[in-house]
Order: sequence, then structure tokens, then C-alpha cells
Amino acid sequence: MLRNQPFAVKLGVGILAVVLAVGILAPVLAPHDPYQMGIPYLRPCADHLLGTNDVGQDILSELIYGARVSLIIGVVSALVVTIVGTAVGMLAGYLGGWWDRVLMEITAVAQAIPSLPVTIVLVAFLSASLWNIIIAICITAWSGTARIIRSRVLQLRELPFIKIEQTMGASRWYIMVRHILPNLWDIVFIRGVLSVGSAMLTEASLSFLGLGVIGQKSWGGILHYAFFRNGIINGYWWWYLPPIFCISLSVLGFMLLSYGGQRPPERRN
Amino acid sequence: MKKHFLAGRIAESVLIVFCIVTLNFFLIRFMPGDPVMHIIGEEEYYNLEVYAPQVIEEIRAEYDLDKSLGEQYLTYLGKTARLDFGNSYRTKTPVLETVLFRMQWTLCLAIPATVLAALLGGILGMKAGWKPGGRLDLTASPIFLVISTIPTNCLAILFLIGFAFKAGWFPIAGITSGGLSGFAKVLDILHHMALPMMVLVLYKTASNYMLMKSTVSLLREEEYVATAVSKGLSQGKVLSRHVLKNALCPYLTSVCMQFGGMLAGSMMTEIVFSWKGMGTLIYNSVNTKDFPMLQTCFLFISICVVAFNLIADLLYMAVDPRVKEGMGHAA
Amino acid sequence: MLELQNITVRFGGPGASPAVDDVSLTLGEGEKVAIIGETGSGKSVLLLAVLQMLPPVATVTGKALLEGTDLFSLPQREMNKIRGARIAYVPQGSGNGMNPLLRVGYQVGEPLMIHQGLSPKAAIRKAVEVLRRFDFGEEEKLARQYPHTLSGGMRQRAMIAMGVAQGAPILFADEPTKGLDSRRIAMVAEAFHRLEEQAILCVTHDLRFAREIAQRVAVIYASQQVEQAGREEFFREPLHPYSQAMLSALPENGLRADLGFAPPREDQELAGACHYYRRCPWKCERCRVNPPLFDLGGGRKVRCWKYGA
Repeated sequence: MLRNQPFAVKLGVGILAVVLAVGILAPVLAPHDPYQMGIPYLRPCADHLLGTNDVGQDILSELIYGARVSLIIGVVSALVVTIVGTAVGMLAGYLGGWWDRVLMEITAVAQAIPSLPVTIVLVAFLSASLWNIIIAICITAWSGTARIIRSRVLQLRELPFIKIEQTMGASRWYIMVRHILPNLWDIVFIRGVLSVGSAMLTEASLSFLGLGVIGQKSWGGILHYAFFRNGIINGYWWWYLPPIFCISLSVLGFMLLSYGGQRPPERRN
Repeated sequence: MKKHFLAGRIAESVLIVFCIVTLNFFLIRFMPGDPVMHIIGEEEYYNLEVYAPQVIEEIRAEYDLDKSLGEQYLTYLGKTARLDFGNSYRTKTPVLETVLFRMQWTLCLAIPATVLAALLGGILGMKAGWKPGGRLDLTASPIFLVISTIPTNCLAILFLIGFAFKAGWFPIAGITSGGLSGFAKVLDILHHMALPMMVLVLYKTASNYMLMKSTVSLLREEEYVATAVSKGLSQGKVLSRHVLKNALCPYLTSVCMQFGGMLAGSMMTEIVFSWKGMGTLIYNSVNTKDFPMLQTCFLFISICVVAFNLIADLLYMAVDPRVKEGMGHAA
Repeated sequence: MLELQNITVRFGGPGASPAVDDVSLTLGEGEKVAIIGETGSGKSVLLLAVLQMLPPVATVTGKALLEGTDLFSLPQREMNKIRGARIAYVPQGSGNGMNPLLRVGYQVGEPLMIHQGLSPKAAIRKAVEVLRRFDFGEEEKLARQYPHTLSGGMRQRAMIAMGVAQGAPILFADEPTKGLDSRRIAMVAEAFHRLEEQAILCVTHDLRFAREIAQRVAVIYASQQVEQAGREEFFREPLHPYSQAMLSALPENGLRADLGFAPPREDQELAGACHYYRRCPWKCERCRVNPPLFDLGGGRKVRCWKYGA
């Protein structure tokens, strides 16, 4: 399956495989306990390859453990966003009428709400647990997917093979699940994979502001301390560059993977 | 038909704003804990609870929190309609004044950035999409792809380090150095603006570029483009007469939506560069738990988004003769 | 006037199987020629190849001589002076051949702006006159309309008008009857009949339409030309087994369908065989080698061993 994909997709899969492996194998790979404190502000040396932070925790180990939170939040949020968005878009597009009006009105409201500020407010006022952060990320993010799915469903609905099913008396739910959904696969895949990337970016912004999951290492969190605890003024590049690199690399991995959902262009006659 | 469509869209926009006002109202009431706590902040609340519980009741009365939910809602709606958002308990200043002041600085940054990015991303994206696999496509596409994978705040930090700390070309933070007036002040502000602006422009250009490129590369497969070529038009003219107009519809819609979101869109950049705009205001209000301020910010941002979505639809209607009732977002 | 010599089109490298395989054809002044073939047989590609409008992945070999000049040797800039002015292209009416955001009048008049330097206003005025030649009725109103408000037949006729607006002596038409009902097909045929001076090269799968408008017929099967003949002879006595199968599927010939379907070149074993081998009722040992196009004289050519030496 992978063999026929372009190089970009293979590269994406490769990057994600590495990040995933690092996240899973964190306890094995990390040279130190990321929570264990020691001498602060160490420069990179043999024992601490990327030095230590303001309370003397090993930055490399922080990074390795950070992959976990970023990936979990990214993937779970994307799943929720994609499932909700697809369901809303499909119901609105296929059932039409009042379903469409009400669902699309809700979608429009969700789109008008400023997503990052609302996420920040929710996390700040609820407690910053993993689930609360995921809910806060998802609360407005599903609307884009819903819009796109709806417009595709509106096109599909008019196609002959759906009309045939309707005349044969198939129920609406049966048509939606067996005939509409399989034809949405490519967009659902692309939107889903891209939402992982944007959820990871949101998570990075949140933890950069100090609103990350309490008591968990994350890439945005490392950057938070590097930024607010003088890592930047003092030019400790080994502190602020690696988390930026890790976030960007993972997001890039997901973006490249999304190319795998594109249909090959049809040749014209 | 068109008038009907227009009236429908305006009614819809009003309804959306109304929904957001209502959401705003309930948000604070359904947050866990006493709403008074969210208005004055946790610390203050616990202090008062111990030493002066009657003050809490006074505040409750001031913000109408002692009345029934229905009554509260009605007075809230009335006040919102009169643009009376009350005073912030934290800063003791009228909320509206603060928000408008901050908004002006955000707009000062975001409007030029959005316009510049729309032009830059549009032109580059169009050229790259017209010749997929060409030199521009091969150089610009990977660059913009990488930029869009970097979180805004990270890009901002990298710029801060590179151009402000290391090179020393630009000031590190703030809006002005102060103590200047007239032309010198304008120059000083522009100097402070340069870095955050560059970050915003780069970031928005990247997304605009990718949208325009994919739109144009799809359009060039259209039959009417082949027809235009078959009439003997040069490549440039096919692009400007036939492709441009068709590509502009989805592009303008997206740029308009960006315009709507720009009050909140520069948030991370503002925080990194300590630019005293809406973004930092929201961030500070979150830290001090200043709920009335946040509510007002959200309301303004949402109205802005809704208004520009409406404008996008109107533009679409003006450009594309096929837009019929209820088809505003179909394409 | 226009002479196509050994045109071969490949998508991808030289190893790829050709979409158009060694097609030669001539088009005299004012002559109407129909190229008949199934969808996907490569006939539309031929038209686009001559106009040099294929994407860069396509490689075209052979010659297309327009009054002695080889079009394939011209740079794009020179080709722009040929396209629309000397050879006009008429796209399918059922498709998206007209820009949805521009008015019909502007699009019909556009070749005049390009090649005669007319102002848009003057060009649109001329476009109305051109439209009038096709008896639309209310041509001024039509010129102000957008393409999506037109029916498929109207659009097709408007595009024929677009093709002749600048007075190009040669017209390439791509499946002008696709997706139209029989009354609209008759209207399109009627529009073609009004073009007495123009030479027309029309690609179609519609035999009856071809019989209506063409003086000469060329049949393409699986990217190769298999037969060429004058209209009368072709419809009286088709020679190639494929042409015969096609004609016998016409209602007046009893609607007999040739059910044997086989993709022509997939089979390794039949590499180099006659492309029609699997479907052919007369196949014999000799057909394991693809026959050349035999010239039977009198403008008749056929690619079948039955008529060869």
C-alpha cells in the first residue's frame, strides 16, 4: 500500500514512526528521569546531551517524555474533531431541512468563536487536566471539517447510485453508513490527519503559555520555561531550539501523511 | 433572488451574533464555582469571604447576580445592546474603553499584515499553481510547508532571537520606546512593529500561498482554460482573464475570514513581542481571571468574524453569477 | 490544407503505450471529416496534440503541416497566432467549456479581441452578429447571459459560433453531440451545415451525426486508425470488422451489439497482434502481426489483412 505512495508520504510515515517509537519507548530511551532535579543551567555535556533547565532537569529526557503528551493530545483531539465533524456534516448534508439549518447554525456559531482564546479561557478556568485540554481544543475545531463534509455530501446525494438506493427503499441511515460514508474516506482521512497537526500546534501554544497538562512534560512546556526563565536572553539554544524542532517535525510528518489521502489526478482524454 | 439571499444572510448573521451573546452570558454562569469568584478572582474572593462577606454580596448585586437567571439574561441583553459592558473589577476602568484601545493596536498590526500576506501569497501561489513542478513551485512550496509546521509563537521566538537579540536590528518588546512625538514617534512604532509584522506576514502568506496554489492547479485542468488557450491567448492572458477571476472567489472568501479572525489571530505573536493588543489583553485577563473583559473581547472578535463572513458571501455573490439562494458556501 | 503525418502521442516515457498511434490524415479546404471512435480511443488527444495543448508529460511525434508549415516546429508564441485565427477549437457543450464567470457575448467575441485587436465593446457587438448567423433568437439577450443559464445544446451552438467568430478556416470539434438529446443533436448538425467555407475535423462517437455532417470518415480503434473512407462508401459498405460491428449496432441496422469486449493491449501473449484480435470474428494466424494501413485507392484505407496482399 505504501509502495505506491509518493516520496513525501513515505517520509511522513517515517517521521511519525520515529516520533511514535520515541513516545512509547520513553522510559527506555531517556537517559535520566525528566523530573529529577539537579544542577541548573548546565551546558550540553556527555552526561546531559542537551544540558539542563532552570531546575536542573535533563532537557533531552524532557523532550523524549514530551512526545507522549503532544501525541496523545494531538491524536485524541483529532479523532474527536473528525468524528464529530463528519457526523455533523453528514447529517446536515444528507438529511437536509431542519437538521441542516440547526446543525449549520451551530457550526456557524462555532466558527465565529475565536478558537485559541476560547481554548485558553476554558483551560484556565477548568483545571488543566489532559481531558479538559482535549475538550477545550475540540470545542470549536470540528466546525471546519463539518463544513467540508457537508458540501461533499450535498454533491454525493445527487448522484445516481444514491438515488437508486432511495428508490429501492433503503433507509436513510443505511444509505449514509453504507454508501455515503465510504465515499467520504479521502476527505475524512486528510482532514483527520491535518487536525492532528493543528491540535498539536494548539497544545504547544497552550503549554507555552503555561496552561499545559499539570505535572506532565510537553514540548510546549519546555519552551515555556526556556522563554520565561531567561533561556532566550542568555542564548541557551540547546534549551529552546530542540522543542521547536520536535513540534515542527511532528506536524510536518502529519502534513506529509495527509498527501496520502489525495486521489491521483485523472488523466483527461 | 439576490435580494432574498442577502436578507437571509443578514438575518442569519444577526442570529449567530445573538447566539454568541447568549453563550457568553451562560459561560460564566455555568463555570464551576460562584460567578462572583470569576469576576473578582479567586484570591480576592477567598479574602473577602473571610474578612468582608458583605462586599461579596455587594458585588453580586452590582453585577445583578442576585436576581433570577431570566432577569439577569434580560438586563444583560439590554446592556449589551447599549454597548454597556460595565467596569472591570480588576482594573477599575470601563471595559469597553480598554478593549477599544487595545483593538486599535492589534488592528494596526493585523490589517497591514493581512493585506500584505493576501497579495504576496496570492501572487506567488497563483504563479506556482499555474506551473506545477516549475522553479517557483519547487522552491517556495517546501519553504512555506515548513513555515506552516512551526507554531506561530516558535517562529516569533526564533525571529526575536535572530533579529532582536543576536543582530540587534529591532527592539525586543513593546510598541514604542516612549518620550517621542510626531514623526519620530511614528518611525519608532514602525520599528517596533517590524518583527511581529514579519512573523504574521510570513505565517499568513504560507497558508494563502498553499490555498491559491491548489485552487489554481485545479483550475488549470478546467475545460474553459483549454478553450481560452485554443483561442490563441498567451499564457499570461489566460491566467489574468480566465483563471484569476475564478480563483479569486474561494481566495477572497478565505482572506475575508482571516480578516474576521485577525483580532485573535495575532495573539501568540503579540504575547512573544509584548505588543499591547487584544491578544495580550486576553492573555492577561486569563491570568487575572478578569471575566467581564474576556466576555467583551470575545464578543468583539465574534462580531468581526461574522461581519467578514457576511462580506465574503456578498463578494462571492458579486463575482459569481451562479450563487443562488443558500449556495453561499457550497463552492 | 492541413496534413497530419504519422502523429504519435505518448503520455510518459518512450516505453509508454501510445494514446495516439501513427495517425495520418489530410483535411482539404472546406472539407468536413469525422473521426469516429469509442470513448478513450485517443481521438480527442489527437486534436489537442495538433494544437499543442497537451500537458508537458505528453510527447508528440510526427508532423502537422498547415499549408506547408509544420506546426510542431513552431514556438508557443507563434502557435498563439494559429490557435483561434487559423484553427479554431470547439469544446464539448455538455462540459465546462465556457468560463462560468464571463458572459457569453464576451467569450464569443474574445477571439476577435485577440486576433483583430478589437475593443471588448466592439468585439461583443460583432459577437452578437455572429450569434445571429445561427438563429438563436434574442441574440442580444443571449450575449448578456452567463453560460450556466444555457442548455447544453445552446451552449454547444454558442461555442461553434465562438469558433467561427474570427473566421478561422479550420474548425476542430470535440464530441459536439455528447450528452445531447436527438432534437438538440439535430440543431447542432444544422449549425454545422451553415459552415460552408470552413474545413471541419470533428471527433465523435455518434455515427449518425457523422453521416449527417461529414464528407469523409476516419475510424480510430484503440489509438490506431483502422479505416478511412468517403461517407457514401463507408456507410454502404464498411470494410474493417470494427466498422461493421459499429454500423450493425445502429437502430436501422437492427441494433446488433458486439458483445465481445476485450481490452486490446493488456495481453502479453497478443503483444504486436492486431488491436482488434480478441473481438474479431475473422481472426486468423496472420492477425498475430498487426497489419499496416492498406491503401485501397480512391481515398479508401483499411487496417486489416483481409484486404491486404
